[in-house]
Amino acid sequence: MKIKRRPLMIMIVMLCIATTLSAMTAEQIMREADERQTYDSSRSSGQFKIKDRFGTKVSTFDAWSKGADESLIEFTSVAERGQKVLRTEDSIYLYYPDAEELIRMQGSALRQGMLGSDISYEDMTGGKDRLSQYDIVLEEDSELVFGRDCHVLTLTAKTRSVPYPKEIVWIDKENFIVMRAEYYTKSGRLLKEMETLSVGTLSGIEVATETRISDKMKTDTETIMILDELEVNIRIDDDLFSLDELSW
Amino acid sequence: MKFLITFAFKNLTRYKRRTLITAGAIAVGIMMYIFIDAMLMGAEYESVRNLKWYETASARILNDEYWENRQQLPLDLSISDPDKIIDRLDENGIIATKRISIGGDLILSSQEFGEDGNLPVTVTAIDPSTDNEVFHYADTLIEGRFLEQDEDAALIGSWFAEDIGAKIGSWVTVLARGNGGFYEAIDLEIVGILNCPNPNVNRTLLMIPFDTADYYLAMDGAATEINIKLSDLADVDAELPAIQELLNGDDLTVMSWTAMARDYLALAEAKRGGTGMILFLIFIIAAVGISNTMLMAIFERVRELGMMRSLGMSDAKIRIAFMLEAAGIGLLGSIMGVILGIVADFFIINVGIDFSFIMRDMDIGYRIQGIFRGAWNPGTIVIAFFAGILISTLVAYLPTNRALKMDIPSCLRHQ
Amino acid sequence: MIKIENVIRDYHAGETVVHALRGVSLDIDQGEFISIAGPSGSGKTTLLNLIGCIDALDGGEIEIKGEKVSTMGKKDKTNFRRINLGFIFQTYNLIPVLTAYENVSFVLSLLDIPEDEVKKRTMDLLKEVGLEGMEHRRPSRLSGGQQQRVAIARALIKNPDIVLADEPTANLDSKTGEDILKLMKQMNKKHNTTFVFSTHDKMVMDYADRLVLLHDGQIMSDERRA
Ligand SMILES: Nc1ncnc2c1ncn2[C@@H]1O[C@H](COP(=O)(O)OP(=O)(O)O)[C@@H](O)[C@H]1O
Ligand SMILES: [Mg+2]
Repeated sequence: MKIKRRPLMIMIVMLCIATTLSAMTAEQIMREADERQTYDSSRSSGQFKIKDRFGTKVSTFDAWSKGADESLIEFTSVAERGQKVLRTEDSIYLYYPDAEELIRMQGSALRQGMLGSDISYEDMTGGKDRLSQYDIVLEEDSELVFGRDCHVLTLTAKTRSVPYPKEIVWIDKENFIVMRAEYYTKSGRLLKEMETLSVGTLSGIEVATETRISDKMKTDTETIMILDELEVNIRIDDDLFSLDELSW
Repeated sequence: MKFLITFAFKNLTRYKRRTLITAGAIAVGIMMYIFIDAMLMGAEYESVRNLKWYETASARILNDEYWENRQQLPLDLSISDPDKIIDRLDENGIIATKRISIGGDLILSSQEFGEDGNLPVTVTAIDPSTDNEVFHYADTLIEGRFLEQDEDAALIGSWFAEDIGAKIGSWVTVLARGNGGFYEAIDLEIVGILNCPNPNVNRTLLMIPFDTADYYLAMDGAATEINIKLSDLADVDAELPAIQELLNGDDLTVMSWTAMARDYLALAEAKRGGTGMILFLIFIIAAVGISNTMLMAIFERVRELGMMRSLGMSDAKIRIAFMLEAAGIGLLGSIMGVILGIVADFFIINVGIDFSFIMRDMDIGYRIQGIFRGAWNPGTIVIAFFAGILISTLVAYLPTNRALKMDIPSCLRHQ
Repeated sequence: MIKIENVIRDYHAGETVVHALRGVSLDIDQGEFISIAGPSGSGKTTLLNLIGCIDALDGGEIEIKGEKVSTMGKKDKTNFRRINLGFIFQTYNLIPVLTAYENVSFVLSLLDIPEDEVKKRTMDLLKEVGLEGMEHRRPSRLSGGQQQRVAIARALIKNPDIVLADEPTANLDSKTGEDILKLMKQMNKKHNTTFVFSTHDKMVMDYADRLVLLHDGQIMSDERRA
C-alpha cells in the first residue's frame, strides 16, 4: 500500500469512516490515517484565517485534487483573487494574475509560508514516503484530545532531508482524523503545532472542518483553516492540473 | 614672446582685486577637488581594506556551484573536507580559514528582550583558532571575549546588538535549516560584542564557532567557504591560478575579492564618476569666473587693442597675450588652491569628518563606519594644479576672439 | 608714395547710408607733412583709416609704396602696417601698465629686433622726443603732452615710411599742442618720414606744409604752403 502525504490542506481533511481496528501497529495507524484522507478526486472550498501581530487576514479558496499528487488551489478573496497554487507530482507553481507571472517554487523558496501563513509550500509537498522517511513508534495507545480517544505516534526522521526531524501525531481511534500534531527541531524544540478544532460531516464524510496551525517559535502567529465544502470522487478534467490551464 | 609674458603679467596687476577674486574662485574649486578626492580616496582605500578584512578576505574557495546559488546560502554546496584543503594551502605557504555561512531566523524571546521578535540573519560560523589569521575580528572586540571552539556562544556586531538590545550574557535562538533541510534551533549566549569598522558587517554580524554549527547543522565537517589571506601588496588575480591548481579535482573554485565585491567595485567606479562630476563643476566655476574676468579685462582695453592691432600686432599674438594673462590668473589660483588643498588634506587625513550620523542607518556603499579619513593623492594635486592653469588659459580664447572680431576703427572709437 | 584714387567709403547705419568719402583722390609724396583738415564729420578719420590700412573701402584704389593696399587680405595688411605705418592717436592710447620705455620698445619686439638694439634705439628716440629721464615712468605719471610724446616715439621707433595722426592735439591745450606739432615736424624733417595728420584746428593747419580741405567726403582744396 502506498502511503502519501498530501498538501496540508488536504492532509488535514480527514476521511471519516468509523472503523475500530484493534491492536494496530503504529505503521498501520499511520497508513490508515493517510489513506482515509486520500481521494481519487475532490473539490473543496474553504478559508484561511492568517493571524500575525498586525491582525487577522481572511482568504477564501476553491481547491481540487486528484489522487495524492495533484492539487490546485485558487484563491477567491478580493486581495488575492485569481492567485493559484498548483502542485504536480514533482513541483509547485505559483500563478499571479496581476503580473501574469508563473513561478516555479524551488529550493529555499519552498520554505516560505503560503500567503504569509504558517503553512509553508514545503509543508504541502513534504517527503512523500513518510513511512520510509520516519521511524514511527506508538508512544501511547490512548490519550484524550478534545475529548476524543487518540493513538499517539512519534515519528523520528531517518534522513536529514525532511524539515521536521521529529513529529508527534495524535490520531482519533475511531475516525483516524489527526486531532493534533507537533513538529520539532532536531534538538527537540517545538516548532509548529497543528490542532483540529472541529470535526464535521461534509457530503457524508467526516472531516476536520477547522484546523489551527501555529508557529511556536514566532509567537503571535497562527493560521486557521476552515473547510466549508467538500465533494469527493467527482469527475475532474486532467487538464486542470496542467501548466497551460493555470492562467485561464 | 618674452614681451608677451611680461605684458601678460603686468596686465594682471591692473585690477589686483579682480585678479585675486577670480584666482580665489579657482583656488576654492581646486581646493574642493583636492579635498573631496582625498576624502573619497581615503574612504575607498579604507573600504577596500574593510571589505577584505571583514567580508571577502583576499580570496575565497567555494564549491563550484556555490557562487551562483549564494543568495540561498546552501549548506549542501559545500567543501566536504576543508581541513585537507587548508593543509594543502598551508604547505604552499598560504594562510586560510574555513567558515560556514548559514541563513536563518534570529528568534528573540520576551524574557530576554522584553518583546518577542524574529528577524532574518546570516550566521557566520568561524574557526576561532584560525579566523583571525585571515580576518581581523579579534581586534574589534569591544566587550566580552572572543569565541572558543565548540561552545553555544555567539559574537554580535555592536550596531546589531544595539538594534535588538542584546548584551553580553543575552541568549538568542537561531532557527535555521541544517544540511539536508531539517529544522534546527540553536540557543546561543552572546559572549562578545564586536565593533566592526565595516558598517554592513557591524549591522548584521552574528558569529558562532565552527564546531557548533557543524554539530547542530550536521555539516559532517564540511565548510561552505575557505577564506584566504594574501599579502596586501599581492596581485590577487595573478595568484589565483596557482591556488586553483591546488584545488583541481575537488569541484572547488577560488574567487578573488574583486570578483566577490564586484557590486562594491562598480559602485566605487560610479562614485569616481561622481568625482568626475565635481571636477566638471569646478571646471564650470573656473570657466565662468575666468571668462567673465577676461571678458571684462578685454572690453576695458578695446582701444588699446585697436592701437596694438593698428601697429601690426597679429591676432595670434594678441590672443596669446590674453591667454597668458588668463594663465597667470589660473597659475595664481592653482598655487593658492593647491596650498589650501594641502591644508584641507591635512585636516581630512589626520582628523577626518564624522559621517556616522548618516552611516549608522544608511548603506551608502562605503565600508566605513562614519569617520571619513582622507588619503594623500599627489596625482590629483598635480592634475588639479595644471588643470587650473589649462582651463583658465583655454577659456580666455573665446572672449579674446570676440574682441578680435571687431574692426579696428570701431576698437579705436570705443569708449 | 601714397596714391589715392577716387576713393569711396559708405557707412551703412540701418536704413540710412552715410557717404563718408565720395570719390577722394590724392597723391602724397615721401617726406610730406600734410594735414587733412575739415569740420567734424567731413571724413578725415575715414580717410586716415583707409590710408592706415585698418578699414576697407567701397570704391576706388589706394596704393602705398607701389603696393595696392586696398585689395590686400587681412594678414597682408597687418604685416604691411607693422613694417610701414606708424600711428598717433588723439587719446594717446598708451598701455597704462607699461613704462614709457616699454610702450615704445614693444613695437620693436613685434619686429624681432635684437634686444640690445631695441634698448639703444628706444633710449635714443625717447631722448629725442624730450623724455630723457622719464623712460621708466608709467603713463599715469606723465602729462598729456608727455604721453603724446611717448606716442610719437612709439610711432617712429620702427622707422616707418608713414606716420598717421588723427587729431593728435585735440586733447591738449594749445601750447602743448603746438609743442607736439613742432616735435612732429622736427621728426619729419630729421627722418624724412611722411606725416599725415588730421585736424579741425586752424592753428594746427598752419603747421602743415600741405593742407587738404575735406568737406562732406570730398576734397575742397589742396594747397602747398612750404
Ligand atoms: N562706423 C560708422 N558708422 C556709420 N557712420 C559713420 C561711421 N564712422 C563715421 N561715420 C560717419 O561718416 C562721416 C565721416 O565721419 P569721420 O570720418 O569720422 O569724420 P571726421 O573724422 O571728419 O569727423 C560722418 O558723417 C560720420 O557720422
Ligand atoms: Mg574724426
